[in-house]
Amino acid sequence: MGDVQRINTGVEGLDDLLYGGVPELNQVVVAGGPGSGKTLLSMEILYHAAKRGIPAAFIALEEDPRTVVKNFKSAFPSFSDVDDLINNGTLVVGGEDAAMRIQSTSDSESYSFGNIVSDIETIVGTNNAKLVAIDSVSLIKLMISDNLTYRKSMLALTSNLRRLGVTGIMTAEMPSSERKDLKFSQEFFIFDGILAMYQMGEADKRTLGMEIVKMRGSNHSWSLVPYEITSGGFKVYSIQ
Amino acid sequence: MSGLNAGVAEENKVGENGRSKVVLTESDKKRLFLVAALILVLLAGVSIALGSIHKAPLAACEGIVLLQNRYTCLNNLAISTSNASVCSKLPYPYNDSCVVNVASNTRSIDTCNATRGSAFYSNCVSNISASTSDASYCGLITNSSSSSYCAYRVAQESSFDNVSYCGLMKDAYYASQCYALYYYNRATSSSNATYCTYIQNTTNATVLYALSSNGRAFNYSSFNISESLYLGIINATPRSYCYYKVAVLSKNPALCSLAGGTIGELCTYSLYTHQNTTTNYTNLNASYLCANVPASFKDYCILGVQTAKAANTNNVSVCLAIGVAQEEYSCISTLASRYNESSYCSYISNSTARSACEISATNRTA
Repeated sequence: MGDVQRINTGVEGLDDLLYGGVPELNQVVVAGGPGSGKTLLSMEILYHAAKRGIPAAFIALEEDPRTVVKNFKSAFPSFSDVDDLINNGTLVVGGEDAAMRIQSTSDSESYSFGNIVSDIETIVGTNNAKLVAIDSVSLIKLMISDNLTYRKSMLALTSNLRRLGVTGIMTAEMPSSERKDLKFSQEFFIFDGILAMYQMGEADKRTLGMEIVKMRGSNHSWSLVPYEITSGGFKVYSIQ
Repeated sequence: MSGLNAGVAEENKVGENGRSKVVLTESDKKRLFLVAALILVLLAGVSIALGSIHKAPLAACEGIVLLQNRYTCLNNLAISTSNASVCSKLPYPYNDSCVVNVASNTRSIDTCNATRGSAFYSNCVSNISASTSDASYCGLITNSSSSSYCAYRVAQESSFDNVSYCGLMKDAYYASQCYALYYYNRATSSSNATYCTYIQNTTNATVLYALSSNGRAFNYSSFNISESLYLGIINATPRSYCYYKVAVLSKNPALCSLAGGTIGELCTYSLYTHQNTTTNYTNLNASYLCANVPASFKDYCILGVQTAKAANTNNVSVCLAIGVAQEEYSCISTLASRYNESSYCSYISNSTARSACEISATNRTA
C-alpha cells in the first residue's frame, strides 16, 4: 500500500486523514446531508489540483456551472484566482448542457444515462482531465427509477472514468446527516472510497464532522473529525 | 576544649568499637550546610524549570490568537503528552475529537468517557475496539446501529474470519453482511461450497455488493471488467454468487448449476474464458458462447469472451472485431497492460482513452 500513487487534495487536514491523498484512479463518493459542503469541498479539491497543474474538470449536474464558480468565489475569497485556472483551461467547470437538458425534459429518462456519460466524456476530453468531480450522482438516481438500471448505470460510469484514467470525486446526498444512521445503500459499494460528512450540532449549535469510511487500496484515519468552512477553504481538524 | 579545637580541620579518632570516626569542625558544618542549601536551591530551580517546560506549551497554545491554530496546537499537545485533560481547553466538538485522538493513541477505553457527543464516543470506542481486536468494548455503545458498526469494524480488521463478531451485531444491516462475508470467505478459501448454504438465498443487493467488494476472492482488475459490472446486471443472490465464485475458483462446472439463473450462465462461461487454462482460446466463439444470455448481458458477455481470447492469444485484431468502440478500447487496454505493450494503444482513436491505455501499459511495466 506504500507504493500507491496519490492525488493530494490540498485541503487543509484532509490529506492527513487520507494518509497522503486519494489513490489515483479511485472513484470516491463525498456523501453528506444538505449544507454539509459537498459541492464546495469537491470544487476546492479540484482548485488545488489545478493550481498544481493537474488538469481537472467539475461537472455540475444540479446547478449552472457559473453559479458553482460564483458560490465558490463567494465562499472562499482567498481562491479568487479560480478564474485564471478556468481561463487557462487547467480547470474546466461544465455540465451546463447536461443540467439544462435534465431540467427541461419532462420525461427525464428520455435524456438517457448514455447522454450523461457522453457529456461527461466530452467535458473530460476538453482538457484531458485527470481529476473529475461530478455533482451530484444523486440526480442520476432521480432520473433512473429502476434500481437495477441505476446500479448498472453507476457501474458503467465508474468503469468508464477508470478507463479514461481519471480519478473521480462524486457527491451524493445521504438519507440522513446523522452519524448514528450510517448505512449505505448498495450503490455505495461500487465506489472505491467513501467520505462521509455529517451535521453533529449540540442543541442550537451547528457543527460539522467528517470521516473516511472506506478507501480501497489505502490505509486511512478512522477518526471522526470536525471541520470548518472558512474564507480560506475547508479546515479539517485531523492529527498532524 | 571545644574552643581550643575550633579551626582545626579534622581529627581522626578511634572509637570505642575500634572503627575510625570523622569529627567535623564547626566551619565544616557551616560549609556543608551551605553546600546542601545550594543543592536544594538548584533542585528547586530545576524542578520549577521542568514544570514550566511542561506548562509552557499549554500556555503557548492558549496564547495563540488564531482559533484554528490554537485548536490544532492544543490537540497536538494532548496527543504528544497523552494527556486528555488538555482537550478540556477546547470547545465542542474539537474537545471531543481531541479526546478521541488521545484515547485512540493510548488505546484507553476509559479516556473515551471524556467525550460529550455520542458520535465521538462511538467513534472512540470503535477505534480502540478495532485496533485491539476486542469487540466486547462495542457493547459500551448504547445505540444499536453504532454498536453494530463498531463490531463490524472489528470483524473487518480480522477479514471476517471470526463469526463470533457477527453475533454481536444487533443491527441486521451489519449482521447480514458479516455472516455472509464469513461464510463466503470460508467457502472460497477452502473451495468448499457447503459453506454457501449458510448464506441467504434471497435477493439482497447490499450483501451481494459487500461480498463482491470485501470478499477474499475479489479480483479488482480481472480482465479490466469489474466483476461488479456483471452484478449490476444480473439478479444474483448472495448464495448463488458464492456458488459461482467457488465454481470458478475450483474449476467445478457442477457448482454452476447450483448457482442457477443468469449467474449460472455467467459461471459456465467464466470457466471457459477466465479460468480454464486448457481452453483453446483461438477457437473461442463469442457468438456461440453468448447466444443464450439475456439481451442486456450479451454485450458484456461478448466483451468478456473477446477480451479473454485477445489476452490469451496476444492478438489485438480480436479486440478490433468487437465492433463497439468503447468496448474495443477496454479490450485493447487490457491487452496492452497484460503484455506491457503500449503500441497496442495506437489502435484507440479517442485521445483520452488512448492516453489512459498508455498509462496503464506503462504503469504495469514500471
